[in-house]
Amino acid sequence: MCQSHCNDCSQRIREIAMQNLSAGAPGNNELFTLGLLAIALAFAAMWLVERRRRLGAEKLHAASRERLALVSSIASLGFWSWDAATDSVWASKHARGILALEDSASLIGSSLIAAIHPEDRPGVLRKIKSAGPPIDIMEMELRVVAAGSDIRFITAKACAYRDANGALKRVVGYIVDDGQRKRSAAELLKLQHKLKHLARVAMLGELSGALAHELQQPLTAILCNANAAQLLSRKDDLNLAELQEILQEIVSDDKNAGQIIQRLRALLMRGETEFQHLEIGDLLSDVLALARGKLKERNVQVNTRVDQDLPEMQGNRVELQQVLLNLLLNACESMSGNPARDRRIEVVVALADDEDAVRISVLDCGRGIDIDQLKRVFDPFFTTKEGGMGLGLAISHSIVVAHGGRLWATNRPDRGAAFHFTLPITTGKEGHERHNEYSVYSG
Amino acid sequence: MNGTTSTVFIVDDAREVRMGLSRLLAAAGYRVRAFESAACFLEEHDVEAPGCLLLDVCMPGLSGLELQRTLVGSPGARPIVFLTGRGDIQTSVHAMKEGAVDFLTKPVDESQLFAAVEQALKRDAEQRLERAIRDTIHKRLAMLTPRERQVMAHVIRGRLNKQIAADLGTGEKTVKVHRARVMSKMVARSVAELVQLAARVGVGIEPAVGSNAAPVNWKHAYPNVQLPDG
Repeated sequence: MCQSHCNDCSQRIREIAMQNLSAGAPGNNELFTLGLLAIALAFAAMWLVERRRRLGAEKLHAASRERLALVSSIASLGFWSWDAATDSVWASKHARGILALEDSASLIGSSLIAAIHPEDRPGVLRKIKSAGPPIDIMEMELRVVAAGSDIRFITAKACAYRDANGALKRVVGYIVDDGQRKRSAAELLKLQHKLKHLARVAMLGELSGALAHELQQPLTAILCNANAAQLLSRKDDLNLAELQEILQEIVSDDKNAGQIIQRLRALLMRGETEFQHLEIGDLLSDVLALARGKLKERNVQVNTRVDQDLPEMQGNRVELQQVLLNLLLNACESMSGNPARDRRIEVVVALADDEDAVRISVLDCGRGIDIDQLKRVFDPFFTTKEGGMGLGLAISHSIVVAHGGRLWATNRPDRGAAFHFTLPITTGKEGHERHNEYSVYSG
Repeated sequence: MNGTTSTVFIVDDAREVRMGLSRLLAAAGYRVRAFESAACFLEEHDVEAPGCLLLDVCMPGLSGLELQRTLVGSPGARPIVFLTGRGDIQTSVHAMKEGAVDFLTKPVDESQLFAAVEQALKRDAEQRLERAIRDTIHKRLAMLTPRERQVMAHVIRGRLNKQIAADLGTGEKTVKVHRARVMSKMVARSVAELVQLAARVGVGIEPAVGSNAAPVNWKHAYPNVQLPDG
């Protein structure tokens, strides 16, 4: 553009010179020619200066661009902007790198949104929509899905510009790859998850004998019933009603066996980390069903007192079952010295008056806990069990804390120990759980 | 299958197992009674009724092994077939030592179950017969006077009337009378029979029962007891 502009100028100078020459004014001619020359020189000089200035500016611009790229890569910053009118997106090389977008691909608004982890998308969109006019600076932590299924944690800071009517005009911002920090947090989370799972598997290992026994009951009944049906069907006076009854019994026994396996499998699986809607009563009866064999084997009686009309709860079903099972088995263990007729556990589920929570208490009549050990029982690797790993209560504690609750132990006034934990009555606050999951055991 | 008068008493806390076992044994023609706990069984079952016990090892409250221990030596004792969810060796050895007929693992095979129950019922019948015989002998012994007992003790040692009279410081005739009363009260036709009767209940058994002793005619000796044929 600059070149053509200068060409235009010289063209015009030449034209004017020709006009004046053809007019043929002698005497003035030399002077005129000199003047023209001067003007031409001035233009040429101006053109040169301009050209130099532009070259300099371009150089400067390139240098500053380089510098920006350097800084942004050192700081792991990725710049981007989105224009509402054209829906076009500009993103720096680093930004594209973080978002796992191709370098040359032309981008639109939805390509940016698509890079965000599906679970974080609604939150981001909500935030952009709700940003107040005329400018609003937003900051959020979110996850993006990079190539493959890698999840990256990023911090995004953005400015939304709006027109007078409040409609979005432009959003400009930068993103930072939280990289190592978040990756190690995620790694830690994964490890914790694995550890919880391992503890669960170990606990179920403890239960396996009793569970196998439990499973043998319906299997025995099924075999007996089927054999009986075979015998009856060989008789001359076939009693169809009785056969029907037997088949019905087989069906229900089979379902019972299936349920035992189902419960077991739910706990054996890695399971999801998300919270779901919970009924504490159901949770408790599931756990008691799982532990039934063991309780029977140990001659332990369990009484439950569950308040009616408990509020809705949110939590991780499998992990809370793990906590309850852990407390029940510990209670069982602590009464192993009691005579067989004196082994009772009481489980009380009630609203905690003083806090906005539901409290679950597991009371035994065992040997109790030494005063100086009341707090230490939640320490990792603290155990009074022979062959115990000492992780059960530490993990239970971290699970309860991740739910926003507390887990503590007391001695009962007469005898035995009591373990209580609370679960806050949630209103389904988002993000709460994930945030808390990062907490390391604080036993 | 045994006589229809025998009952298989089932004790198992799992309802479905009780139902299943009852159905199967009933279908096979056995008379069955089921109890949900050892305590219920002890409270309700008829000690006199012939039959065997089909007993779950692991139950809340009184366990199968504890029930076995309670029953051993009591009038309610009867042959036991154990059923267990897990065949742990220690428990089974213990149960067998205490006289269990068999120790079966759940889920139990039909033919094994029938064989074990059959054997248990047979053993029960034998034990009942043995008990009945001993009861009769004891009843007869109870009818003897102290003097007659003394005489009997000498007779079964193979001593002659003369020797007995000398030992007891009495006349030979008197001993003869006592001896005749003993033989009559004990319903024994020969000294050999008397020795066998005494040996059966462990009275004065020092001298071994002679190998040439005549077999006891049980039908004659115990008219009130139902005896197996032959």
